[in-house]
Amino acid sequence: MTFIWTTIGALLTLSIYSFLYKDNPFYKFAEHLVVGVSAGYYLVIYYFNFIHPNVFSPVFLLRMGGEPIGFGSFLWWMALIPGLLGILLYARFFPKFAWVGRWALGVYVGGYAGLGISPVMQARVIEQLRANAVSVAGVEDPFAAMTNLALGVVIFAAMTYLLIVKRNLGTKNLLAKIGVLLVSAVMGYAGWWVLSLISSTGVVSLTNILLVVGLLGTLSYFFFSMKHKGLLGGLARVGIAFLMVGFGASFGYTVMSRVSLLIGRVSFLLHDWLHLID
Amino acid sequence: MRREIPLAITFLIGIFMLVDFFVPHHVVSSSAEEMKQWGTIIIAASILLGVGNLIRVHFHKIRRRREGWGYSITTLAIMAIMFAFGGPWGTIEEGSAFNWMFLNMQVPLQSTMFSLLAFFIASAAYRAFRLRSAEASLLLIAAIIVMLGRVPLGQLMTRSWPEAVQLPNMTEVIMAYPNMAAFRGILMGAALGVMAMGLRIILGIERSYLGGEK
Repeated sequence: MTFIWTTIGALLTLSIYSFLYKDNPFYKFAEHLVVGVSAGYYLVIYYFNFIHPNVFSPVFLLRMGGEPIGFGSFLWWMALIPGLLGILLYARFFPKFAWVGRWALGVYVGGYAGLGISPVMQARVIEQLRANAVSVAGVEDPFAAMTNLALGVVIFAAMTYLLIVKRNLGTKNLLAKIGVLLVSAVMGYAGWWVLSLISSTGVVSLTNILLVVGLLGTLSYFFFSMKHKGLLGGLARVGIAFLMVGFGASFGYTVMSRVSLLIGRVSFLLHDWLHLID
Repeated sequence: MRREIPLAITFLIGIFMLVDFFVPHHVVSSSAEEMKQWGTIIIAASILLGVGNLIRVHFHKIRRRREGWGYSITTLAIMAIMFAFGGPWGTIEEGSAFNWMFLNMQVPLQSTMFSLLAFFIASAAYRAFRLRSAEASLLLIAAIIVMLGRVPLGQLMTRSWPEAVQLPNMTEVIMAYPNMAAFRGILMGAALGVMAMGLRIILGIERSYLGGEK
């Protein structure tokens, strides 16, 4: 029995991968199966976890959370009103009355707009600023702090000079530009390595500087109220460099997650189905 | 009245939810909790509306014998089977028929679909990573370090190098510092955008969610 199910799973897997050759009936079948299974899944989850216990059961069966409730009671109304609002959304199937669906949208959109403002400010602005408000010196001892800060600033200044000034003044030759960029990256990383050999607090100092300057640069890049010239232009250019590293890292991370899924499916085919590998 | 009433509802509910954050009185917080529950029910109803629309589209396709109507039967049949398994015998509880369908059909089918992207992402990578500019090369270098740093090959390639420049460590540094700094900036920018949009919606300046008709 297990072999039959595994074979069906393997054939469906191969049907989906057949799309790599070209669109074909096997792929279309598997694709429609995915859509049907997902729609059925969400239908069950949303109906039995949200609509049934919070609307259907209290309104029609007069039970909420296993406890009986009275017909026309406060709890009964509190279940009926959102149920009716949900039903109003279906008015869009009748063009003449489609506008009443906006009432439900008003509750939902207004609720989440109001709910979002303060917590978003708290969690995504204030807390992020707090997390980024790190000691660029890295340590408490003033002498060590000054030394670390000076080292960090020298290395970062060298990187910035190579990245911004040299690039602006330099040749239009693409290879030369990439060379400058590589030199600055290697210099930055070498500096970080040298710092790690000298003291661990030096590393903390440099990484903290990276965090602070990276955030300032990124925010400067997204600041459109002034022309990106002079100091703002320089900071914005640093921001672009950080953004590119960030996007590259995210892309690499996504690629690896997809490849890991692919490895999982190939392992299913070769191990679970064909028993070719251990 | 077709636009004014929803705008008034949006304003009142939006202001009430905003007030909830600043007024810790139990009447306000319990009412706000009830509102959140209403929002959840409306979302659930809208998801069911989407599924209902999917059923309608496929049903019309079958009835009119449009091209590919046989596949629509597959979609509707498997949806009905999932629903039948989910209803009387429990939903996602371990050992239920619905959970069996979820683990043995939905999870593998979806992971196969997503793994298909590994092939397409390779061609996208070629286009994105071509060394057109210095910035693009930064993207390329960061992506290559992260990709190699996450697999045993990267570890093997650089295991004789000093610890700080081994690929897995470089990956950690990239993820924890430049990547974190950039995404913190994006997160803060997006948050300010969300807040501005929230205020525009509450004050009735942003009305696109009401649709185009009068």
